[in-house]
Amino acid sequence: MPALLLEIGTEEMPALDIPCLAQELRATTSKVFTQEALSYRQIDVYYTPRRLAMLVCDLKTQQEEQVRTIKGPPTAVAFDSKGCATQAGIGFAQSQGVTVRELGQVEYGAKIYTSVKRSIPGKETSEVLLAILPRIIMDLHPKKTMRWDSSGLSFIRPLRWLVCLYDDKLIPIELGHLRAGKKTYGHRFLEQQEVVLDRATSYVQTLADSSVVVDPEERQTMVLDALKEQADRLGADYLVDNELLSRIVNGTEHPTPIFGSISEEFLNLPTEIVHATLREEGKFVPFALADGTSPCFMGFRDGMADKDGIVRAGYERVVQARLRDSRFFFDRDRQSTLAEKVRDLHNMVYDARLGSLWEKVERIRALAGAIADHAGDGLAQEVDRAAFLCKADLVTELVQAFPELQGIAGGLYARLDDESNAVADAISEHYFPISSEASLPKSRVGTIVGLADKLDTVIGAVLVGEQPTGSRDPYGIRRQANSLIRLAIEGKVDLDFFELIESLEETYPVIERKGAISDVRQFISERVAQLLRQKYGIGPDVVACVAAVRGGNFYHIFLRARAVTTWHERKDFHSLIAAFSRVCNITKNSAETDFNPSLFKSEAEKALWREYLKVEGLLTNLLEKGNYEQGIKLLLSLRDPINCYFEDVLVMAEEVSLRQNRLGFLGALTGLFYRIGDLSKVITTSNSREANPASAQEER
Amino acid sequence: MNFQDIVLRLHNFWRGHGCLILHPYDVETGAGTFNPATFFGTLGPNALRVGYLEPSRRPTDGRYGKNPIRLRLHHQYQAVLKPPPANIQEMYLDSLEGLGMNLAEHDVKFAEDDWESPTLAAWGVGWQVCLDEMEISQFTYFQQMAGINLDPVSVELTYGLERIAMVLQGVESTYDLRWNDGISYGTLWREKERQFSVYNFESAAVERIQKMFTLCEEECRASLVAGLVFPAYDYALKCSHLFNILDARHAISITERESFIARIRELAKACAQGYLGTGGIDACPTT
Repeated sequence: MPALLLEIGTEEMPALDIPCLAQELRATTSKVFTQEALSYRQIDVYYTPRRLAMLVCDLKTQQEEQVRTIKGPPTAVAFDSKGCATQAGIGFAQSQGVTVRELGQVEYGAKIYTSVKRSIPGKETSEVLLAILPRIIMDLHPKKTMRWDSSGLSFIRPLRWLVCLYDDKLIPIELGHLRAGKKTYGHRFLEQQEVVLDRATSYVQTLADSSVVVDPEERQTMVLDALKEQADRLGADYLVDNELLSRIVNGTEHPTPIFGSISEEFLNLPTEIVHATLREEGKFVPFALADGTSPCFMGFRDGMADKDGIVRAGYERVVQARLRDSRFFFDRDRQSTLAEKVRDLHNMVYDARLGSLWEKVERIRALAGAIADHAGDGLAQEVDRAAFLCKADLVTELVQAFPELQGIAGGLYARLDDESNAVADAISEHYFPISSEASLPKSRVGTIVGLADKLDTVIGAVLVGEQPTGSRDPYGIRRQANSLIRLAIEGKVDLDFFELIESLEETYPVIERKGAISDVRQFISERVAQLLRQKYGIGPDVVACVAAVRGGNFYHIFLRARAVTTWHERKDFHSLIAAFSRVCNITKNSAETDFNPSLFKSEAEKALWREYLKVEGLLTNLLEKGNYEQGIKLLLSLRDPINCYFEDVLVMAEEVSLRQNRLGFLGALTGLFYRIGDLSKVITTSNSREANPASAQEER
Repeated sequence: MNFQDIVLRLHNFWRGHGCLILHPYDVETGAGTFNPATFFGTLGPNALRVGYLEPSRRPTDGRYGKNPIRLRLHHQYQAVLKPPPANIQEMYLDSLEGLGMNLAEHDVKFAEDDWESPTLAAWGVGWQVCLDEMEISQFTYFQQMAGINLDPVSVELTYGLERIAMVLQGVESTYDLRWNDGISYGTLWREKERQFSVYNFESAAVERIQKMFTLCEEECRASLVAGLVFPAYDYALKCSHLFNILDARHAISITERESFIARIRELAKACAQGYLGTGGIDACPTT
């Protein structure tokens, strides 16, 4: 069956935006073709910086037949009570060229109407394409668009040619000043760039013959193979991330590796700086040798082999000049120590409402100090020093030239200033994790300073009213809060952050407050719940269970959630939940927790009281150690006494003092369970049918 | 090919494509875009084709004459075409070939680099053109100038002449370039680079420069009130240059920076509005 080729020729599109645009082209085409009843087998998309193309395979030559229903007068009007057609009914049938008996019925807005089904024969596909393809192209939404001529069109870059072939037939679509033809263009370096395509399906091959690899996956393979081969030869690693790879793969029509060396005079420059310099603007891939040096790199020429080494010489010249620049920054930065640079933070505004970076550093020190008091492993001095120095690299020339070196540059300079390793490592690591999947700081000091930094960012943003709403999150504090929680959980920091925040509230300026500390708690608690579900795979019911008890000890919240999850499938746990739910149900409208054991009458009441006393003491010890799984096991011993209690004791006794005493005791018992969470929120195979829908709703 | 021949060839090339050949502006500019021929020329509906050389002063880029490619003053060649011809990329590449470059031997890339000038309230979409990954030109389709949507749009081609000359002459350092066949770039410029670097980074009298900035700003505003947009624009340019010196001296904090830029931007916008409002269009070069 025939295939359709559409090629949109452009001036060079931004490398990182092309893949998205190609996927959008595929999705939009698929949607519109379905609407238009054009059937096909599959859509392949191809792209390079200069073209966006798709091949629609096995596209039928005709639209599918479409059936349209034409609505007539209401049935009640078209037919009388005896079922005979009225004048209106006859008229409608006649106007549609059918007999009255052929009229059908259709329901429309609770009313029944007469109708006629009309089948519309499919149009020729080529005719439909002529109308819909320009619309599909103009419906693409690049991140940023531009105008370039008087057509008024706007697109990611100027459109320069269109090819549209249905098999070997030209579909002359029109867009702005362009009209599709059979002519496309090979690689720019060719003498003869113009190429005529005679069939849609010969697209990939014809362009390959003109030195253009239109399939991005093939280009990626070319690039990675070249890097691997060179790395193997050197016994080195190549340092390429997805962004750099995408810039190379989607910034070239025919990538050809060019290997270059770095002049020896730069080998004493720290490798972090060499790497950042090479990767700047997505140009070169550094190689790291086993001995820790990086004396070479690879770039990718758009074109064929560099026979005379002209491109290689050019690349090496550029790298040399850039490294010289980096060394200039480095030398200037080294004229003063990192500690001396801290005072320059006075002149750098962090946020107009929250003051300078100096003030932020002061707050980080206060927060970090408080965290270190509880969880510092005796490293309070190192924590304070690292907190003091952690932002100083923001005033360095190096970080201004290479923003991605923030933290890393600070660590580097700290080491050269003879700060301790603990301090230098902490400075390097305090921005970690830099993405949701990235690794956390390895050092305790780095963890604590990182916690303090993120905590300050979140508190500050919420207090000045920059809480995220929808997709708007100017401070990126969702990510900051997530990192904060991860640091606390995975760093096993046993500390109630909410108490900490409250004790340090006065460190924040009050003038421009638009939020309160309670908003900070609320915001972070929501992030905790979401992270438990999404990152740690905790079930929503368990999250609701542990979240019912608000608190700022994220590590312990996690431990509670994990313990409940471990018990989740066990039958004895289910019966405990059932017993606890009975307690819960009866105390839910009472706030009473005081009781007097001497008023206990029945044996069941006294038995439960004895068990409560025993469990309470043991539980307190276990939970302090974070052993929630054993804690739940301990609670199991309350199950039978609770069930006996409800068989023997009438809680809602007529006598008020008795009733209040019983409610008070059960209230205290509820409190005991709440040290784990609200177990009644846990949905198990035994209680799922009667599960309270409100509880499921609440945790969303 | 020596440096002065490059300039002459570009003049010839663009003259051949109907460009009016103009001269550098005689007030300090940070880039060819600030030349009134471009700033005013891109405004309004009239067609425009111009080519000129522009010495561009960027105090923060000074390296005391020691860096082979970074300079406090470099030379731009600027061609502006309004509206842009459909084959403008080919035209540009032709102009490089016209300088004796065999592009088939090199790696030529048009790498995304959208241009924005906060001081001129201007932005455009385009690339840095890289030859063997060395940036040799900026290629921009202006979309806005002085906050005004351009219709028609203009294309601006800015050649970094030192970089291009280095490729052509096969030298590793700007200072080794031949200006003509007898005199080197270093002879002409190295000492100036050194002195201006010392001045911009270490010696410029911050308070005096700040006063000068304020004076120029006042003079610009006064000229605008008098309806004299071209003199006003000269003082806006001076403000921009003085700001750049203060910046190099690290005399501007981040907050102040924003407000300085905003002050210059207001001047530039007022100049453009005055120009469009006072029939200045008739005075702009057309082809």
